[in-house]
Amino acid sequence: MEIEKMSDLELIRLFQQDATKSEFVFSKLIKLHNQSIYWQIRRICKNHEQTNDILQNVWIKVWNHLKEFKFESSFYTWLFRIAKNETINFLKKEKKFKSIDVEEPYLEIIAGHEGLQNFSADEISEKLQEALAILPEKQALVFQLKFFEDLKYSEIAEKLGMSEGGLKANYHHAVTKIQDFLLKQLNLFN
Amino acid sequence: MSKQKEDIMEENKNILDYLKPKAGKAEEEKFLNSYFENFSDNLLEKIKQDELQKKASQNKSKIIYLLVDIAASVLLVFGIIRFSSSSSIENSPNLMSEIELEAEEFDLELLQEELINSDTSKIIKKVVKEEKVIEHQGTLPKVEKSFEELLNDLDDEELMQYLNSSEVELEDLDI
Repeated sequence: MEIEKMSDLELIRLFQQDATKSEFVFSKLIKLHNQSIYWQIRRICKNHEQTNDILQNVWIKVWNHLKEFKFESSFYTWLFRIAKNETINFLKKEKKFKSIDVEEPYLEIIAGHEGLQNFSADEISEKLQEALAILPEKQALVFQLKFFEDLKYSEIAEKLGMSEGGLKANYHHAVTKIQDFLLKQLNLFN
Repeated sequence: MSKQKEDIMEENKNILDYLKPKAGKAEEEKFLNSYFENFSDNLLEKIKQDELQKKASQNKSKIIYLLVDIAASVLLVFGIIRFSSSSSIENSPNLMSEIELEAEEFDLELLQEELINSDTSKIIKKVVKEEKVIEHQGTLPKVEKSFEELLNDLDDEELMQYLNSSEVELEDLDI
């Protein structure tokens, strides 16, 4: 089979079986998923330099441990988990849960919601990240791919190796929990 | 609850409908496209360099361990040699007691007293013997008078008596 048409799992099998192809396969996996993981990290760090450091650590971990990948989840789920842990560890080490750098918020508020008018996009962005941090992994993963990357359910299903029905259920639960969290945190019920 | 309030609650509830990811700026997008394009090449280069550095530092550690090992072995061997040589003297009772006995026997004042009061030939023989002990040990105090001086101290009668004495062995005198 041509490498270009291989799925993530087929690429990983090739990586594990043929050492001469490992660099090529690794580059291919980076090209497929790097942007998505970059933004997952950057939405928390809000800083390109820190994001770059964490992203490099994530892919170095992948390089070191891809031979031990057990095919118990999709590659992207595994990658998402590594990125999440690396980000948390990095920020703990840096003691910067909130970045000092002021960058453009990654969200914008659409006019029409009365309660949201009292808050800045940056404040809402931070609250949304807090909400994502307490979601179960699968729900957080589906939400990020659907809400932020605007992927279709069919694309997400391919990426995560899940059924579209399961994805929709996960997304629905994620949205309900995030909205409840935001309403409580922003006191929008009063 | 009034209809208006219900509408507000519903509106508030669907808060995510009023939020959307912000599109990046053109400049940043250009920068990020280049960043993503080169990311895997740069990372693989970094991984290779890290692995080389790791190997180099492992080799360095091995050399240091080897040197420490050699130094420890040398010290151990040196220690064993020192211990065995010192214990061989200490554990040789004959040699030690001989040295101690001869050192105890040698008393210069007593010797001078004997020289004055006792039989001359016996004294001379003892002096010769004591001189040999001194040569052998090398650490005991030197005799103030040499054999020749002792002979000179004798008067003619004493000297004749000494030379005729059957107890004198010329080899012992070494003159």
